[in-house]
Amino acid sequence: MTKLERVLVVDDEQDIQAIAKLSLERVGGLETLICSSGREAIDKVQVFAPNIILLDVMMPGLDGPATLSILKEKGLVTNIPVVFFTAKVLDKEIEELHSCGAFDVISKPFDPMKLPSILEDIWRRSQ
Amino acid sequence: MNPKNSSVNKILNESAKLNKLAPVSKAVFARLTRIAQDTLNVPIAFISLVQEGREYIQYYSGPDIPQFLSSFDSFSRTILENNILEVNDTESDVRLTDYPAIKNHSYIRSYSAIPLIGQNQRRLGFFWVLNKSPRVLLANERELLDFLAESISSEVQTSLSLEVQSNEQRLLSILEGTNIGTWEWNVQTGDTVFNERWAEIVGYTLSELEPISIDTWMSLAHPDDLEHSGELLNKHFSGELEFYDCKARMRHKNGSWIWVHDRGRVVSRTDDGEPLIVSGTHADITLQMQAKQELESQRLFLENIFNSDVSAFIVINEDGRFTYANNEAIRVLGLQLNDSPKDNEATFDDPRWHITNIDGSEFPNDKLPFAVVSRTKQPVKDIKHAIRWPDGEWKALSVNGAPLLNAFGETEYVFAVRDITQQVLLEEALRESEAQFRSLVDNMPGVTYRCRYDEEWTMLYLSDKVDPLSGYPASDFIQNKVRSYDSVIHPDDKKMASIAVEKAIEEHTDWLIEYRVLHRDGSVQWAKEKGRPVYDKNGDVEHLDGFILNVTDDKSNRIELENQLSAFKALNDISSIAGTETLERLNLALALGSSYLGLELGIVSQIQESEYKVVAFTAPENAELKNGQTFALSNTYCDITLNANDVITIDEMKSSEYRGHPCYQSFTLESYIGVPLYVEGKRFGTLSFSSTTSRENSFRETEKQFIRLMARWVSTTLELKNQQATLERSEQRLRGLFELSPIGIALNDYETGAFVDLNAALLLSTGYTRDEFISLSYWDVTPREYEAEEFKQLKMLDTTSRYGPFEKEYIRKDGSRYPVCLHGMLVEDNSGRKLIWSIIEDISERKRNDEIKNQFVSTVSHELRTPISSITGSLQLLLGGATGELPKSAVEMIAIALKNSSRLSLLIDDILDLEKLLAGRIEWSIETLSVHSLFKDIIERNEPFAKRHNVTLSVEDIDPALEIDVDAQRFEQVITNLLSNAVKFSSSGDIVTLNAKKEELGVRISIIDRGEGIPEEFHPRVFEKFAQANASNTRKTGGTGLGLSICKEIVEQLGGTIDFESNPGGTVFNITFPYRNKTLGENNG
Repeated sequence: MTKLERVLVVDDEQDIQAIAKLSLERVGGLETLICSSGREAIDKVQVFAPNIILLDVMMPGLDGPATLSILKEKGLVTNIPVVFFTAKVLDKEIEELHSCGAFDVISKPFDPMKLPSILEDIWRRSQ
Repeated sequence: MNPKNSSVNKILNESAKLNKLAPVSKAVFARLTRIAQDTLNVPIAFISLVQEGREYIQYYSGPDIPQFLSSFDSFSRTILENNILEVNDTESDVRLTDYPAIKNHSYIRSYSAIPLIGQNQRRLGFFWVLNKSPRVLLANERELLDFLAESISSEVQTSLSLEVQSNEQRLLSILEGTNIGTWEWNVQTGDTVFNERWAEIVGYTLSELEPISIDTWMSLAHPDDLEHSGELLNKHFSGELEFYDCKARMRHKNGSWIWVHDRGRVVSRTDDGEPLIVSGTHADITLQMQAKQELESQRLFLENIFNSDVSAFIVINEDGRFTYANNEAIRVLGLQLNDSPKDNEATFDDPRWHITNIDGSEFPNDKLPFAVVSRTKQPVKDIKHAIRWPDGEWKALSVNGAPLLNAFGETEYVFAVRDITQQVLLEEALRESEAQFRSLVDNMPGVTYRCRYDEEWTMLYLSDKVDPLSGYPASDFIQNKVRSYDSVIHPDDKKMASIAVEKAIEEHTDWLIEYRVLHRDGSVQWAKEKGRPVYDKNGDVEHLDGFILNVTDDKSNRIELENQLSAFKALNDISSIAGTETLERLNLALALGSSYLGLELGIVSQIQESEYKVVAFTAPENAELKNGQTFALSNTYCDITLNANDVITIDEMKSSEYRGHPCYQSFTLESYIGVPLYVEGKRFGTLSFSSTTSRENSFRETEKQFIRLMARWVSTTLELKNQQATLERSEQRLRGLFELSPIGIALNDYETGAFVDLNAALLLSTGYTRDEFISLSYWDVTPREYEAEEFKQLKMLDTTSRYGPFEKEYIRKDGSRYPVCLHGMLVEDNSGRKLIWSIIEDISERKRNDEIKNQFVSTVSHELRTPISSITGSLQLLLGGATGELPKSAVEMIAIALKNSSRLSLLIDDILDLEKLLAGRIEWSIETLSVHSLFKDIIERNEPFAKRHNVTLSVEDIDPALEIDVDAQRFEQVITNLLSNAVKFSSSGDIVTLNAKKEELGVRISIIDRGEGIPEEFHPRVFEKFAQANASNTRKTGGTGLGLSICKEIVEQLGGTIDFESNPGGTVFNITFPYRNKTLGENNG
């Protein structure tokens, strides 16, 4: 794999979904799949086979860390970097997110014009 | 040659002395000069030859011209080179400017000199022709002259060789006649010629040494001498030395080293001037050198002896002058003699020193060693005298001397001088110590004696010190003249003394006894005697020697010491009384004191005004005395004690000044000792002991000291009793506080961990009753997971006697837990039991608050950031062209929207930063910035917001040079916050003013609005977190209630202050930033 092609975005906020989709597809030219919940992501990840997963932390039902834990348990993300997407900014919280196995953390608000290149960087680092 | 030419002859005779040419030459010279005269038609022709660098006329032909001959030197000096010299006219020739004798010569006007050249281009001389008139030689004339000169040269050369040969022969015959060897060495080729004698000197024949070269010499010469020889040779070659002159060793054929003396010189040189032939002589000087060396070694040997510094040697001549002194002599005499004795001015009676007898008395001059030896011509021995210098230094000397005839037949005097100063000083010191010893014996305090071993101790010798011991003079006892020594010994001690002496005699040892001596004045003196028997040849006792010391004072001191010891024991017993009631302890102490002092009645009294109350006592059984019993103070001896304010003793009342005292009248107490008592610095009463009998011995100092010390003990005991009462009261007070404390307090046993005591607050938190709690073990209330932490705290307690504060949980009676913060300390109770006091604070409430706060921060963060993320994200996509091209005006508007949403986002971050601010974890970036430009940016960014509220932002005139040291982002955050508040609370159409002024302490910034003002009751809470004057405002103004808290926190952390003034007509917020705010920034990097 030489190029980042597919991104799976998991977020319950419709606004964010729209912005992320627009950003990744239009600005970054990436194939993007939006999932509204952790459960949906678990179901679809194998079929979509993303290069990278952008996972919101605060979601009703399965939150980000819980989703990641299941993804790992099922061996669905063995070679896929999972990046948390969060509005939490306390140092302690960021630390916790790293410790539950995220490859990186992107904090909200984010600049959608730059998001594709940020993901590109992260993906490259993961290789 | 004209024999009449007398002046010429004279000169020629001189030359002849120098150079003896063969007689044949003269005829040749005559012929050749004549040819020149005739052919060239010149009046004078002559030949000069070089001798030792000068020209001498060798042959002359012509008239006798005195002026010429006398000026010949001038003529010869005009010749500068080995070339022909031709002077055509002496008067006009410039070369002769410096030769007036030639220039003005009356006879000669022109001349020529042709050099005569011999072998090796060596110039031999000149051939001269002289004219009376100026003349220029023709070419053929010059040729003729050259030819003639060549002929003369050849003749001279031949003649000289013959001369040299004959000289050589002559010299050789002379050398052969001596024992001197000769040598010739060609420096360039190394060829060497030795004569037979040369070889003989080194024990060889010449043929044995063949082939001979310079190496022959090199191989025989001593290696150590080669270098020196080479140096000398080079010096000679270079002209520094006229001769090569060297003494060196050579190996003789028989293996021994011989000394030779070589002398030589360069006899010819190469054309380049390098030495060619060197020749010289070779003499055997071995014997001469041996003699010299022997002499030298003898001299060294003698010098070593003289300078060995063992003895001083001096030699004095007939005049009394020192001609020799070795090092030791120089030291002893304190003189520095010159190397040459002849230069010495020092004489035997040098005025620089003073000769005396050793004891300092005058020493007669005619008895001086020099005077005696020079007068008698006889040796002297051990003449002792001292030599003294003006600076006070002196030496004692012992001198031996003798006359001596020296090598020149002169009489000299040799002296050996011994420094005996140390010896003299030692003798003197010995004498002094003897004298001291004698005086010591005389001054000894004891009696020394020698007596017979008989009934009376008959004294043979007795020192005077017996007088102070017995009151009788020593003479009384000698030979029992008036009385025997036995008569003054106390009758009770006589037997003991005889037995001790008898035993010592039997055992051949010393005796040491103590006995009493009856003094003449009736007193008894104590004597201590140490003695020993002296036996005769038969082993019988001859006499007894001994020493008696008066130890009366020691003896009474010893009694006093015993007294002190028993006082000490009594005091010790008293202070050891423990554990009983105060009264009982006092009674016991009084009994002990009474026993020690031998006084049957002892009382501790309390005195208030004139009343004397018995506090404790000891008394005979029949005495009618009770605790608490009172007397009139004036009826007790204690009034005397109190008046004196010190220890009072009465040995015998009936004979004392107090015999009229009412106490004596009533109780007939004969003896008394009393001391005032002080308790806590105040007079309390007295401690006294008394008896109905009078004292056998007066009260001693020890007894007074005893009662003082006992009084102090009584005072302490009474003070302790008071303190206990105080302590009990204090304990009650503390118990009240303990029970009322809102914070839990517990007392645990250190060893078992069991609860010993606890207060109501702790019971309330846990839900247990006191009895239930006391029965609990430590781990009933503390969860086991805290065991490790508990252990750590316990360790801290062991090392520092304190622990905590630390947080853990307690288990309530119902099983639930609550958080507590503990700290405490280790104490010991009276019985030595270790206890832990713990303060146990219930921190449930505090924890709850923290939780709420954290929850809030997290929630605010998420809830605010999510919508802002959507807003800014959308705007960024629009502006970034992700949705297609936008009209220019739309781009501008979206940019403003984006800028402000970003600012809001930043603001939220800052709200969250409040946490960091309060925790002091903010990183500052302090810069010196222009207020004017800061304001410009701030106004620009806040303008849209103000416009929405229809409020105008105005900046008053600000000095463009005004600067402040702040963190730009935080500064903007503060000002924006205050501006936005001001705008929000302004009415539509109002103006909000921003102002900055330079003040003494810093820059003061004011934000002024004309709103309705802050309600006065809210003033105190303006800067509190989450405080808003009116809760409904939250919705109306959209504030979080954190703004002003953040502002205050930022301003204060930047070192500034913030305050406000408000009334219904408006509000002014003032911020003052101090100058130089850099330190904060530097510290935070």
